[in-house]
Amino acid sequence: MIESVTYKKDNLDPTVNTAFILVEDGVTSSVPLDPRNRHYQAIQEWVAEGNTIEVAE
Amino acid sequence: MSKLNVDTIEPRGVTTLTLGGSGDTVALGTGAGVNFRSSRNMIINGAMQIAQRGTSIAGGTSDIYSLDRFALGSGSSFDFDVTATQNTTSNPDGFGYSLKLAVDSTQTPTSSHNGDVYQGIEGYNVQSLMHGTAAAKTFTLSFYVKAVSKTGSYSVCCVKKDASGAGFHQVKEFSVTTSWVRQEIIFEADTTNAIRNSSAKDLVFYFNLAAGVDDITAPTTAWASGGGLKASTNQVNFMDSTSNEFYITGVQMEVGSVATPFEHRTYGQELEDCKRYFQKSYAYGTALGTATQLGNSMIYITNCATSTYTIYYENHFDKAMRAAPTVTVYDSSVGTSGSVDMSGTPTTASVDQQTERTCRVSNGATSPSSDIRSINFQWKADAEL
Repeated sequence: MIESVTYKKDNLDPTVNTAFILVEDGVTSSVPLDPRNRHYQAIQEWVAEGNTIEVAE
Repeated sequence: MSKLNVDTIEPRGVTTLTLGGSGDTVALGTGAGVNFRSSRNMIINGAMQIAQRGTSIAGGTSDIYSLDRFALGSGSSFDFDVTATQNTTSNPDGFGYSLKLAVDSTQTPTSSHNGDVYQGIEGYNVQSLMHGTAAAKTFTLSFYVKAVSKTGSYSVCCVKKDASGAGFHQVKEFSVTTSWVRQEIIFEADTTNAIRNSSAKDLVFYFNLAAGVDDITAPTTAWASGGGLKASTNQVNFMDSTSNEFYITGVQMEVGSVATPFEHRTYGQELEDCKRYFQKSYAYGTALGTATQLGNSMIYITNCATSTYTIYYENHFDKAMRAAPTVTVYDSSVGTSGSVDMSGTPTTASVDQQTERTCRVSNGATSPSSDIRSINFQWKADAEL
């Protein structure tokens, strides 16, 4: 179950998002911004259900 | 020794060729020709040999992969509360492993609930079916299956997607007993709707274990519209007792209307095929999240000018993956996900810039001042369908 999703900013250029940081079932992972990735697809469905991707600090 | 050099071998009015005096035969599907080539099995890890994620995986209310390439599917948040294990005993002759499902708590599916085991196949790998053309071919799914306690009618649903993403399905029933039986199920050709030629989940086999009333349909003899999972009218509810067990192995899908003997591939071949979808740095038998440096990715440089530092590490995968993968890094010293070991201190990891071949990993926080530059981490990369 998805617990949270946060945009991952580029370390060298913080104006650019380079990935999602996904926390699912207690495990933290990096999800690429690639529509072919199944976790990317799951995040889109999670957002469609009314959830929000958090903005990185 | 004589050499036979002919263009066609044609049996006379039968569908098998007898080889020599041994009585061994080769089955020929009608119109399919000799279908005994290698790499004919389009299922990966059909003999359940590869278990990179571990040999025991718990199902739940969302999909989760078990043995490589085989997922435990949950529809509409159904609690598919099973434990999937790589079974090593009492398998069919010639098979060292099977996938065993055991019920952990009883569940009753309603509405659009379903619980299943599935494997998705990239459209790239099934274009030889020639669906959507006049020469479209049938294909055959075969597998060995048995059950403990819950015998009876089960079903398998095949879903395919066309170039527009529209779905089509077929549902077939099969009967499961307490003994291993090889099922041979033919799916019809489709001259109308092609299968998308992509690296997405373009063809899927769902082995149904439980289904709610909304997903029940009569078995089909032609492709029907709809990309959602369907189960057959007589589908049992495998989840109705914690005594129930379901076993499956030797899964094979091949072109034509004949189920040829299972194509045994080497362990190494299967592992390489699985790595297109999942890889890890850990030793094969080491569980994800274990605290160990064995096999980890590491940079360790000493005698540097004393200062803070950030290390950027271009982490290469063993081989190209299906798509840019989801990457999880684990601190090698404590096993925590999303963290790297930075000179002995667990530190939030920064992971991004995934491609099919690489990703970038760094220590997300600036280090303390030191004359050492080091990060250690384990990783897994998931590009499953």
